[in-house]
Amino acid sequence: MHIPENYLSPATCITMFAAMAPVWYVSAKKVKVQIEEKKETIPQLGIGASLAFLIMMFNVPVPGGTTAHAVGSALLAILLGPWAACLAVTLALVVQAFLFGDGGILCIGANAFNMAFVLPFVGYGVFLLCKKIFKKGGDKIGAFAGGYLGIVCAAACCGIELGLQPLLFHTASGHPLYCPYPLRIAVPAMVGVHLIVGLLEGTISVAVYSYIKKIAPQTIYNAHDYQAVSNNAKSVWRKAFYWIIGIALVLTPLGLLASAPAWGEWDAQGVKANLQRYHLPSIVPKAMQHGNSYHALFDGYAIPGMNGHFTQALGYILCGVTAIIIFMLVSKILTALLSKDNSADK
Amino acid sequence: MEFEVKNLSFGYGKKDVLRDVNFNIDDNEYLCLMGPNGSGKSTLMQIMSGFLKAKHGEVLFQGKPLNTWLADDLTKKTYHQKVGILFQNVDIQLFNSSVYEEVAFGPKQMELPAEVIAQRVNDCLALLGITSLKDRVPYHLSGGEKRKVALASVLALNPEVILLDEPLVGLTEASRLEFLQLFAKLHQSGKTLIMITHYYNQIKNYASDFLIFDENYQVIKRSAEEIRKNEHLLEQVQKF
Amino acid sequence: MPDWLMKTENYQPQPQKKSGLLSNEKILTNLLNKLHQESSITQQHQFHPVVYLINVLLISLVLCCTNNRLTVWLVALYEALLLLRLNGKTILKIFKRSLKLFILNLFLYCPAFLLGTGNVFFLIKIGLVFVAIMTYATTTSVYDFLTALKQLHVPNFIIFQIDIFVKHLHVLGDFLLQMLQAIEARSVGNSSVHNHMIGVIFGNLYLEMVKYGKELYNALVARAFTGNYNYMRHRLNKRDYLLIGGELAVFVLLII
Repeated sequence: MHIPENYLSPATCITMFAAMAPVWYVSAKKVKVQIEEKKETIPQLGIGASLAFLIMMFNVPVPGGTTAHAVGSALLAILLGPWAACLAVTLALVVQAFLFGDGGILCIGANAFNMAFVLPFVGYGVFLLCKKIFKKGGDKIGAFAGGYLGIVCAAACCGIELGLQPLLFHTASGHPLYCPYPLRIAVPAMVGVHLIVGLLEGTISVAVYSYIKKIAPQTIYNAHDYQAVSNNAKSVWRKAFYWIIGIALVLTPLGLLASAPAWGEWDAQGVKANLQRYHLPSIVPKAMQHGNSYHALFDGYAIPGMNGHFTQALGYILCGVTAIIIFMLVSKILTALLSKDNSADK
Repeated sequence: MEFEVKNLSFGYGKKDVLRDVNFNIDDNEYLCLMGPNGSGKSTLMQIMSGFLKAKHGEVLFQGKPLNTWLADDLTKKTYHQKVGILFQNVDIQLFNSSVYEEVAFGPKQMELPAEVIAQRVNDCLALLGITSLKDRVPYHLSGGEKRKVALASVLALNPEVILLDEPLVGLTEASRLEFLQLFAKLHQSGKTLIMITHYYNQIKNYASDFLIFDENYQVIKRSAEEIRKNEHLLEQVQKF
Repeated sequence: MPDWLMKTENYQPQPQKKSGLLSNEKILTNLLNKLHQESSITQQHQFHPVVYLINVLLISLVLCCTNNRLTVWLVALYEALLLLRLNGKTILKIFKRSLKLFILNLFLYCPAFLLGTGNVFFLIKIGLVFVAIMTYATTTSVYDFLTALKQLHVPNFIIFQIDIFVKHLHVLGDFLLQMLQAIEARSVGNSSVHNHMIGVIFGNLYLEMVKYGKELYNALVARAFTGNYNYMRHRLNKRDYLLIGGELAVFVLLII
C-alpha cells in the first residue's frame, strides 16, 4: 500500500499534504485533550507508532503458503482511539520513508491520507456502527468489518490517486509521466487485491481486539472517557469531510478536462494494448489479472452503437460522481452516528 | 554425552563474547553456568538453544553437530523436542489463551492421541501444583505462577535436556526452594539440566557440575566437589 | 514423577510446510541489527543534518518535477559526487538496498510495458530517487534525523514522540523476536496452528506497549519532566557550505 516516490506528480503530493494538514492539526488537538485527561498516555503516541511499524513489517502467513502484510491502523484506532492512531501511523510512515526507504518522502501526504486517515477513521466508524447495529458481539463484528472495509477504502483511495496520474500528467504523445496505470486498472487492481488482504487485516483486528477485551479491557480507548472530545468532534468531522469533498470536487473536473486528449491517445494504442492483454502469460502479477476482470465488467456498460471513447468517458464520469457520492454518504452516516452518540449521552 | 563444545568462539561485531571455549556435558548432568554479567553465559545458552549460530568451532549434540540439527526443518523440530528451553522472560513464552492450552501446546504439536495429551497436561499441572490455574489466562498470573506454567509446558514435551535461563530470579525464597526441589526431582529421573544462575549458596547442594565464566574469556568446568574443596574457586563463585 | 517423564521420548516429526510466522525472526533480527549499527555508520557522515535533509528533499522534488533528460543526468552526477565521499562498503550497501527496492518496483511497473504505457525514463528517475533516499537512510542515524527536525522547528512534542518511537521500536522488536523464538522452541510439529496465535502475539505486544508507556511516564515524572527536549546542536562547517552551494546549483537548474 506504500506508494513509492515518483508514482505521484508533485501537484498530487502537495494536494494530499494539503488534505492531510487539517487532519493532522485536528488530531494533534484531540490527542492533546486526551493526554490532559489521562496524563499517563503521553508516551502512547510514540509507542503506538512503534507498534504500528512492527505490525506493518510483520509477515503474516496466509492460506496458500505465502505471506502478506497487514497495516493495523484500524486496530490501532480501536485500541488507542482514531486520533492517536492517525498520528501514530503518520509517525511510523515518516520514519519508514526517511530512515528505511519504504514509501516515498514526497508521497508521505498521500500515504498518510490512505493509511493514517482513511483506514483508521473508516475502520473506527464501521466499528462504532457495528457496535450500534448488533446488540451481541457487535464489537467483534465491528473489529473485523472495520479492518476489512478500512483497508478496502484505503486501497480505493490509493487506486484513485494512482489512477488519476496518467489522466492528468502525460507527455504530448500520451505517455504517462508518473504512475502508468489509468483509473480503470489502478482502482480495480488495488481494490481487488485488498478485498483479499482485507480478510487478513480484519482477522488480525478481531483476533487482537478479542484477546485484549478478554484480558485487559480497561486499556481499550473509550470515547466516553473523553467527553469533551466527543462533544465537539461533530463539527470537526464535518469540517474534515467538507475539506475532502471540496478537494475531490476540485480534482474531478480537472481529471475530466484532461481526460479527452488522454482517451484520444488511448484509442490508437487501445487496440494494441487489448490484444496484448488477452495474450498475457499466466505469471502476470495479480494487478493485471484484476485489471482483466474489471475490463470484462466494464464491457457490460458498453452501449451498442457507441464508439469506444464515449463509453470510457462515461465510465470516467461515473467514477468521479460515485466517489463524491460515497464520500458524502460516509460523512452523513458518520455525522448521524456521532449526533446519536451525543443525544444518547445527554 | 549430550553436548560437546569444541573451540567455540562468538562475537557481536568486533567485540568477542566467547573465545575458544571447550567442555563436555554428560548425560544426566546438573550443570550450572555462573559468571559476571556480560561474560557470555546467555550467548552460550542462545547457541545451545539454536537461536544463534556459532561462528568458529562447533557444538555437538548427541554426537551430531548443531548446525546439522538446525539445517533442516525436521531435525530442527526433533532438536527442539529433545532440548527444552525455559526463557528468562516469562511473558514471552506464554502465547496461548489459557493455562491448559499453554501446556497442551507441545503435546498437541507432537500429535499425540487426545487422551495422552490430557494425561500429560494433568500430570504436568499436578507436578507443579498448578492444577487450580487450569482455566486462567496466563497473562493475569503472578510471576511465580507464570514461571510454573512455562516450566510445565516445557516438561509436557518430555525433553531430554532442559535449558534454564535464570529460573530463580524474581521469586520469593519459598518458591525458589520449591523450584529447586522440582529440578532435583527432574535430575533424579534422568533429565540433563543446564542452568544459568547467580545463587551459588542455594544451588550448591543440588548441582553436580559448574561452568565458571570470568571477564578474561576463561571458561572452566569443575565438579561440585572440586569447588567445595578449592577455597579460591569457592570465593569466586560466591561473588556472582 | 509421572512414568512418561522418566522415559526417553521417541518422537519423529512429520514433514510440514515451513511456517510463515517464523520467517519474521530474520526480518526482526535484521531490523534490530540495523537500529544497533546505525551509530557506527554515522561517523562517516559529516554533513549538517538539516542541510542534508533538505538536500534529499530537493533531489526528490527535482526528479519528480523534471522531464528534461539533461537535468536528470546532472542530478545523477550530483548524487554520484555525494556518494564518492563514502567508503566502498557503504556505497555497496546503498546500491544493494536501492537495487532491492528497484526490483520490487520493476514488478509493479512491468505490466505497463505490456500495456504500451511503460516509460524507461520514468524507471531511470525512480532508480535515482531510490539511490538518493537510500544514501540518506544509510548514512543518517535516527538521532541526526531528530536533530534536523528540531532545528527545522518541528514542535518538541512530535520530536519527543519520534524519540520514544525509535527507542521502543528496539524494545518491542526484541520482545516480538523473543516471543517468536519461544514459539519456535515448542513448535515441534504442525506449524499451521501458528495462524491462531497472531491475536495473542499482537495482543501481548500491545499490552507490553501499554505497560512500557506507563513505566516511561512514571520515569518522566520521577525525573521532573518539564516538556522541554534538548538535542545537540550542530554548527555549519565548510563541507556544509559546499553542499548548500550544490543545492543552490540544483535549484537554479530547476528554475532554468
